[in-house]
Amino acid sequence: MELTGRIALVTGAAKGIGAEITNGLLKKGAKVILTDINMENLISKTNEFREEGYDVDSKLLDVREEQQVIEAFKWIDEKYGRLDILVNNAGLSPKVNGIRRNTHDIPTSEWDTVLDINLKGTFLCTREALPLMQKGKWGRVISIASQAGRTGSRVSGTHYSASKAGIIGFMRTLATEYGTFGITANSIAPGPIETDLLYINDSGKIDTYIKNIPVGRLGKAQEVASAVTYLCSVDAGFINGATIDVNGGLFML
Amino acid sequence: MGILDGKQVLVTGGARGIGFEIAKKMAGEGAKVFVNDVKDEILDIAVTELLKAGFNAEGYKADITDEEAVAKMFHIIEKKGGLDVLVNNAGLSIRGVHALRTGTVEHDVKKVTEIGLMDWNGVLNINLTGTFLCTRAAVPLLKKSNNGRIINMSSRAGRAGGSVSDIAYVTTKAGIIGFTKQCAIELGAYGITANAIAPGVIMSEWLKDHWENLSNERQETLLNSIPLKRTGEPQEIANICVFLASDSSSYITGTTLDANGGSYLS
Repeated sequence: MELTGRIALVTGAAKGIGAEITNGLLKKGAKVILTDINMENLISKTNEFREEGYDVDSKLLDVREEQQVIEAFKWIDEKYGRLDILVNNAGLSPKVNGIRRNTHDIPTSEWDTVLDINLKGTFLCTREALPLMQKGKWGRVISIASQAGRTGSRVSGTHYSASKAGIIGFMRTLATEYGTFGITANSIAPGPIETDLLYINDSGKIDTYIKNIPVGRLGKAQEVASAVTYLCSVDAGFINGATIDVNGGLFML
Repeated sequence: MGILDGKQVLVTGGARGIGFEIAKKMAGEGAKVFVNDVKDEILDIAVTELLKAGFNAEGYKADITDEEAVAKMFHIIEKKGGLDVLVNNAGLSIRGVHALRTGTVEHDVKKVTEIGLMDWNGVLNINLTGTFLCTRAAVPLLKKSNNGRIINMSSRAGRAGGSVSDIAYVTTKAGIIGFTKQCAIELGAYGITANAIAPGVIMSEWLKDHWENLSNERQETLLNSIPLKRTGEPQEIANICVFLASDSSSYITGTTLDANGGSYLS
């Protein structure tokens, strides 16, 4: 299979898009290390995959905590000696009863939490993963950005948009640094995907929203996962520094 | 078993270069590939090679700038079972159009003030009008497919201009991006997606020829502007075509996928 022999790590892997990305990588033959901040979800998701016969490992990880991240990657180095694929998926988009806070209502603590998870977490995991990828002279760093970071958003807050636009900038510069080591860096920018994060508390609103999507429907988490597995393949080797939009045509750049 | 099993594909300008690699790769993934080109001789060679490899391929000679010829080609494809994927690959630069018209190959890239109207029209006709004519004729067939796909060939040059491209080519390749977006908007309701690919410096037959005429210093400067420090291979563009044609890309539409090793980041 396409990813047989590859070792991958997915952050925020226990739920939603992260779980589907993990599933997609496993189906293509990769070994996947699931990490998540929620122990209960992590254990049950890991067991689920293991029962299906997949090659999985797991590590409880809060991507904001430098020491935890350093230790997690040290553990991977000791156990596996390298890492081929990192998917920076862990992310947060705070809502109150399904509705974002407008900027004048965002407490500093909420702003910090979003930037810590979405941006600092991506930085820390990437920094610690790169030496392990250089060992194998091959690597794929894929970060989940968002349509909210490509344009604006009507459903998520400014902290979320700022962090996701930040991810795109981070990945572009990363792409210029490690190309000669066979390591590519790309982002995926999902649009409206059916997950818990896209919760609009009004069915009339949802209908109007869907009318604006050229393909006439919301996306599925699997459709984000299939873009990730494609970027992980050898076939995608000349794609570097790119942002792949998976949004049904809702925003086209 | 290939990921394009059961799909019928048309690749325009598919007899040579990147187009041929696309045809080969898609056929290798199980698709039936209709290979279109304007030149008989190279079309025969291409189709023979595909058939020899055991692939399902058929050649169609047609000038895609000729409205009637395009209509005929799609009429035949419809009779042969329809179409799932249209790859609008056929395209030329001023240099290519000039060579096609006069039979003489020039190495210098012409600047705006040096371009004759006939060559300008030639580039616009093939790259834009040809794409329009093929797309218009393909849509009724793609509507009958469950997963209709339009894949257009743009270029890094259409994103950012470039020192090895002429202005007519750059204009059309930027135009392709707009064309692709509007296709996505208009055809999404029929389950048809439309995407463009924007290749960077790819070592195609065309470029090989040009590359050898560049000084070592120029070559080095070009390579240094690419984070991956190498040119791309035609196969790497074909790989992306396969992805966009496959069911894996079902929620991706209206995008322009950059395959440039990181030399332009959009």
